[in-house]
Amino acid sequence: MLTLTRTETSTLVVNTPAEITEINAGAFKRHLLAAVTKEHRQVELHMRKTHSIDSSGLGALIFLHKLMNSRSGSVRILHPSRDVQQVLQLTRMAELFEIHC
Amino acid sequence: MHGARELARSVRTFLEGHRLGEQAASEWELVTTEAAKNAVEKRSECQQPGSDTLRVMVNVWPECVEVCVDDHNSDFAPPNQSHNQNDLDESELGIFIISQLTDTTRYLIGAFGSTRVMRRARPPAPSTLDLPCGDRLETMLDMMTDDLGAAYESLCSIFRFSKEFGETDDVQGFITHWLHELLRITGTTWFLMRRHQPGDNTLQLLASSLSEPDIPAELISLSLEEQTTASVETQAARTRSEVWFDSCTSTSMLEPLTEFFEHPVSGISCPVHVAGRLFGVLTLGCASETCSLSASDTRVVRMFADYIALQLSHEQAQQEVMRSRVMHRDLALAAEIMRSLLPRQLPKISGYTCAAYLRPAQSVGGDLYDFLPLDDQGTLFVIADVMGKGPSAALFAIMFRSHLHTLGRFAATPGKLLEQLNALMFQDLDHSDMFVSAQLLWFENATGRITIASAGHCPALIVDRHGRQLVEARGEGPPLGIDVHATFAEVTLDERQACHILLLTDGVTDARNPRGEMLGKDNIVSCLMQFTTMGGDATQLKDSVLAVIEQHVQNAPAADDITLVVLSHDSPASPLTLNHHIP
Repeated sequence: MLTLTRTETSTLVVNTPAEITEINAGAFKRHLLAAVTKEHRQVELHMRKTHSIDSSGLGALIFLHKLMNSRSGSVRILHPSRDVQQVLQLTRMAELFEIHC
Repeated sequence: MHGARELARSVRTFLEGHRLGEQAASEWELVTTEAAKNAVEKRSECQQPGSDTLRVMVNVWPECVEVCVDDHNSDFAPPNQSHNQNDLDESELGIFIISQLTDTTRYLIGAFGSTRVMRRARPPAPSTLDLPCGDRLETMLDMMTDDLGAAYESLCSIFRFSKEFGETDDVQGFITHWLHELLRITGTTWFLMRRHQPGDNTLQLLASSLSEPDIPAELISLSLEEQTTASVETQAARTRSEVWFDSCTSTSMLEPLTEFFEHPVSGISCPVHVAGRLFGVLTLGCASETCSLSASDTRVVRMFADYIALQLSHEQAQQEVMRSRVMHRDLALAAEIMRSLLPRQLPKISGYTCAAYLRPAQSVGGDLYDFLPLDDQGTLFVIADVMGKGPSAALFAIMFRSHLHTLGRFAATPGKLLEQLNALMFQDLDHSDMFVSAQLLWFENATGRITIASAGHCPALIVDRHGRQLVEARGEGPPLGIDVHATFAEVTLDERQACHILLLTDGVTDARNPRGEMLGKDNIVSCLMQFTTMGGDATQLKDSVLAVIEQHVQNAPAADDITLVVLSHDSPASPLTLNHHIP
C-alpha cells in the first residue's frame, strides 16, 4: 500500500499505508531509506489513508525525521486523520514535524 | 505481533459494544496495542511455561474501564516524563503513550508472570434517570417520538418504493434514487450496489453514492472467482449472508472499499438474492471507524435489499420475455422469407402431374424444394435438407437455393450440378460444421428421360403403374460440405418406366408417434404401392402419404421438417429399369 512519488528532484512524496504499526513499520522504514536520496531536501508524507499508527509507526516517523535532519532537510505531514493527529499531539511529536491538515 | 494487533482491535470492538464511544475505544485500542507489543517483545526474554500466550482482560464499570495485559516482563521502568521524543526508543514511546492515555498504570509482578493494569475513568453518560421526573418523561416521550417518526418515515419510504416497484424501465436510476433515500433513512453516508449477471462470475458496479468520475475504472468489476482474495462484498455474495465491517476488519477484507473512499469505512454488505439466486450485493455504511445501525435500520436495509432483488429479478424476466419475443419475430420473418422462396407454381409437363408439400418442424426449418425449368429442354426437381433446424439451417437453405439458381445452366446434368454446388458451399458449410443433403431430378422434355443424382439424400421411391415394382433410386454421393472433391453418380430411367416418383426428406420416414416410434420407409412404400393400384394423380398421392403420416404421428410434436415432391406419369407402360452412370 506504500506508494512513493517523486514530484521534483528535491521533494519526495510518500502516500502512507492504511496502518503503520509493528507489523509493517520495519518495511515502511526500509522503503523510505531506499527512496530518500541525497538530493531530497524534503519528504511529504500524505497520510490521508492512514487511520492507525502505534509506537512502531511513530518510531518510523522519528527515523525519517532524524534522517532528514542529518541532511539539513525536513519532513511535512499532510492530511493526517483525526486519530493520527491525536497520537502525534499526545506524544508531542507534532512539534517535530510540519503538519498540514 | 499480528495476534497482538487483532487482540487490540477486539478490545476496541468490545468497548464500542459497551457504549464507550468511538474516541475512547480508539484510545484503548492504542493503549492495548502498546501494552501487548511490550508483552510480545519481552516474551523471548522469558522462557516460563505459558509465556507464548498473550492474555488481555477488559473490565467495564459504570465509572471506569480497566484493561489488564499479562506482560511476562519483570524489568519495567517508567520513562522520564519530561522526555525528548527524539531520544526515546519505540518501547519507551509505547510506555509513554500508555501513561498519557490512562489515569493509572500499575505493574503487578507475580511468580509466573506479571500483569500491567491500566485504568481510566469513563465520561459520565447522560441518563434519563438523572433527570427530574417531568423532564425524564418529556425526554422519554421525545425519544419515543423520534423512534416512531423514524419508523413512520421508513414505512412511508417502503410503501412508496413498493408502489414504484416494477413500474420503471430505468432500473439503475430507480435503484440509485432509492438507495439515496435509504441513506437518509438509516443515517448512513455512502453505498455501493453491485450487480451479478447470470453466467458471469463478477460483481459489476450498478449504482453508488459517488459521482462517476471519482470511481477508478479498475474498481468497477469485482471477481467472484474462488482464487481471488475475499472481501466483504465477495464474502456476502458467496455466503449469501450479511457481512459487517469496521476499522477492526482486516485491510484485505476492506478492499476495494478503501480505494473508493478516503475516509475510514464501516457498515454492512448485504447479498441481494431471491431464493438463493444472486442478483448482486448492496454495501452501505458510514464514514467512521464504526457504523451504529440500529436493529430497525438494519431491517430496513434488508428489506430494501430484498426489494432490489425482486426488481432485478423482474427486470431479468422481462428481458428474457423480450428476447424470446424478438427471437420468435425473427423466426417468423425467416419463415416468411423461406415460404416466399418456395416455387409458387408447379411445373407443367405434358403427360405428368406434380405436387409438393413442406411443413417445417419449427416456424422455420432447413428443408426446401424447388423446380428449375431450363428453356424448353426440361425441368429440374430439387429437394434438400440442411442439417439442423431454425434460423441457421434456413440461412444455409437460402444460400443453397441461391447457388442452385446461379448454376441453373447445369440442370440437365444433376451430378455435375451437385459437384458445383458442393464446391461453392463447402467452405461455408465446413466452417459451420454443417452439411446439406440434396436430391436432383432432371426431366428432359424431348426424350422424357429422367436423370437423378443424390448428395447423401434418402432415396427417391419410384413405382410402376401396376404397383408391383418399386425401385429406390439411391444416387451415390456424400452430402454437400463433407468432401470438397466429391463426385455424384447419376441414375437415369425412361419416360414410360415410372408411374410415380416420390422425392422425400428423412422427416417423412422419421416422423414419430407419441410413443416415439418412427413411421419408417415401409409404411410409405405400402402406401405408394396401394395408391398405384387404385390410381390417382400426384396431388392425390401426396395427400395419401400425408394421411399416413398424420395417422401415425397423431398429436405428437414434429421433430423434423416434412417435405414431399411427387411426379406422376399419366400412363406408364414399360417395366422399370435403372441405368447407373458413375462419373
